[in-house]
Amino acid sequence: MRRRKFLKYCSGILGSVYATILAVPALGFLFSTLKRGQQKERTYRLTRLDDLEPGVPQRFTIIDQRVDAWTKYPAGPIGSVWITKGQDGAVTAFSSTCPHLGCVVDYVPGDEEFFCPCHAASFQTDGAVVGGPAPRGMDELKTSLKKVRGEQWVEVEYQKFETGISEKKAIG
Amino acid sequence: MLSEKTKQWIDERTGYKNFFHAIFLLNFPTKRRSRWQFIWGGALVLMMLIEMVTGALMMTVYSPSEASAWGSVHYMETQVDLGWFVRGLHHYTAHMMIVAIIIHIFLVIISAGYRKPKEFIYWTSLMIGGVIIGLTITGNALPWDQKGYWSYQIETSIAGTMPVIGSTLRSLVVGGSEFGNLTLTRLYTIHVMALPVIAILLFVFHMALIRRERLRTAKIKEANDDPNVDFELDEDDPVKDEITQPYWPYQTTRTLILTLVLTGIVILQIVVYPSMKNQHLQVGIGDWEEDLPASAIKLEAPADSAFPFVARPEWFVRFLFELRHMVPKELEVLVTAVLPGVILAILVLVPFYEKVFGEKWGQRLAVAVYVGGLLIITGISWYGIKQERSAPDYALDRSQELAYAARASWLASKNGVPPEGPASLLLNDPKSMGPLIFAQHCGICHTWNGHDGTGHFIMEMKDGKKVKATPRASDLAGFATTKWIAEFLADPTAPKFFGHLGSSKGGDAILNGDMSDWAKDYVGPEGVLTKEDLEAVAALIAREAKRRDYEQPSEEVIQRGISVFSGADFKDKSGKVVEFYGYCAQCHAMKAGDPNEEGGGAAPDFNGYGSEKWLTDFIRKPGGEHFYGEKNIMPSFEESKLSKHDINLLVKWMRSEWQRPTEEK
Ligand code: FES
Repeated sequence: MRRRKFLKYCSGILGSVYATILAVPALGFLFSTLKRGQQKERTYRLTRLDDLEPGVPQRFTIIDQRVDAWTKYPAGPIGSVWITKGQDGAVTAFSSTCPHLGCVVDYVPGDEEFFCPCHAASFQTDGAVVGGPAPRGMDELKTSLKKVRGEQWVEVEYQKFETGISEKKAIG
Repeated sequence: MLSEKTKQWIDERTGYKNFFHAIFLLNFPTKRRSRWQFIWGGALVLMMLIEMVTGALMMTVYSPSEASAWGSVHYMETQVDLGWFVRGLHHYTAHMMIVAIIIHIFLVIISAGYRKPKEFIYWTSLMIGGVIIGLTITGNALPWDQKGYWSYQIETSIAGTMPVIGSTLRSLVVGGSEFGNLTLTRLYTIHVMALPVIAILLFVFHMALIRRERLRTAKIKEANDDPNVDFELDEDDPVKDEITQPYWPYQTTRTLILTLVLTGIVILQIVVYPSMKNQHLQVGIGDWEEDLPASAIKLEAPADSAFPFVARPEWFVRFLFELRHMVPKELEVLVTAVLPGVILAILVLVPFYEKVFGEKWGQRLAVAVYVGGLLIITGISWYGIKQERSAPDYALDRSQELAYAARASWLASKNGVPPEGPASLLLNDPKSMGPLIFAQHCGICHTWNGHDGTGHFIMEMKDGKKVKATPRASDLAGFATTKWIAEFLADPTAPKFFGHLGSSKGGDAILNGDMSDWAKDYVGPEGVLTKEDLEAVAALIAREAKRRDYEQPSEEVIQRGISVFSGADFKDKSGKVVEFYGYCAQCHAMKAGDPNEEGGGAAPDFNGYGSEKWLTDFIRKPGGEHFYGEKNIMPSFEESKLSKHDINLLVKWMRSEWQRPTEEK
């Protein structure tokens, strides 16, 4: 019965070679498709500094091309930001995506407060949570000023963050 | 590992041991002498498993619609890690399975595996073979590239010729009368759902039959060997000296070895031809290699009837395709519908040959029919392929198909596939569309490096023979470049330029017109103009076109060009300023060459000569007062003849303006 044992042994080895030929590409294949949708932050020039009214947040839409796997869509809205110019001229920007579950946060002039219509989260104008279910304050985005033909423009680095968790973590 | 006791406990409640024994054929008795016959079947099962795994993987990326099928396959090939390997494995293993099933059935026939009581085992293996062919045909069309699209056109039209059910069958698998989104969704359903399920059912049935037959033989033999049982086999019964062995591990090892050898060949194929087979192309037609080397082309161009493609069916239906072209039209149905039926009947009836001819001759006939049939089919296919490859335009056509494939792949990687679908990558690309538009509209009179833009020559019938047609107008390759203009000025009546115009109506006025007279008077050994003068004025005029390949000449050359154009400050060969009467501005207007802006009007305006706007305006209305005026003999191409989109592509192509790999945005 030594032959029998030897053949069993061979079968085992050959079988694992066969399985490896399938398993390795399978894992590589599956996991690489999970990388989809990771986007780098990009800078968008959104408004002239002088056009902002001090103390009043204003919403700006981010327009960009969107690539979904193989399809590249022409430029269209991909998100929006709230930009506020403080009385001292300092500019802050918040992503309008609610940190709770991702609805678009609203601002009603006069209320002095951001408000999310979905589950009634509210935030101070500096982004901190006032009330509601939001696990963290609104996500602040990096801003910078750039001089273009003698005028100051506000530039924002737009990024998306995971929702529903208390820490601010970029997607991807 | 589980302890023996736990295993026992589970087994009592589930019977899993028996189940595994059944699935892995652990104590399945096999004939020792026919082990070679068995391993092909086993290898087919293991290959089918490869197909299922790779197929399921690809289902996570592939998207069956006209707008996204090609893009998703391209994405799989280029972006997904090991996507090229998974797809290659799926593709080549499918073809390997067809080879394996051909061999398997051959082995069944030579070992009389169709003989009573095994007829159904044989028939099910035939049916499984049919399903595998169906899977390959449907799978081949799924990427919706030129190759898949056109071969599916052929295959469905063959199906459509079947009497009575043909057209219904065709519209069922095509999803209507025309190819489109429904064709793909249907193909997809057939490929991933219907046929695999049928294959599995057939396989289960097939295995159950084999099992039944083997167990029966084993029992008979057991009874024969058991002295306590009163049973004796006939002396000449083959079962008598059959040695049986369990499948595991005796056949398993062999099956695995064969599977790995076959898979090794498949992997070799993937590695050697990671892309399309490109051994037949003629490199150097056009400059397409700069987009992508041939070895990196993963897919044929996206399916679109606007682009030329020679339709060829898959290799295993090639013979039907060839035969169809060999017989007269009335007999076509014989080839496409009757012949496959006859082949099928010949195969299905194999078990009954022995009824008529006896065991020995019946089997010999079966082998002869099978091998002979294969040889005839191979011969016809080989002949057809050879015929096609030796056709004069084969290399050219194939190179062009590859050029489109390369271009589409490159554009897709560079720009992404637009939402309206991959065909628009090429449809909006001057480099791809330009030659086709030129061939269609301009190639009747003009040439492009001697051909019609696509590399083909315009032919005409002369004395019953097909000969290269004489062009009726100028060759436009390099139009408005310094070189082209200089050549033209040196001899406008050369065949490349006005040479053949005399043959067309009204062309004489141009052939023997002012421009030709001018060249006779001022150019050549007698004329006052030197070669440098011509080149200078050509460079000056070519500057108007703002072509990307324009080389800025020195200021000196420009000044010299201006002096020729306007006649002012003209220096003759000895460098003396002389009066020059042949200056261009007499007839042509061009601000850059004529500071006083006095001339023009009598001949085409050179302001912006060869630029996008100039060319467009010219093609739209060559008889306009800025152009040839009354002397014009070229037809005008209004919007109704040549759309805005097309003229734009044509002009861009003529000026060699298209997206290039070397170009930064
Ligand atoms: S999503 Fe904004 S509160 Fe829930």
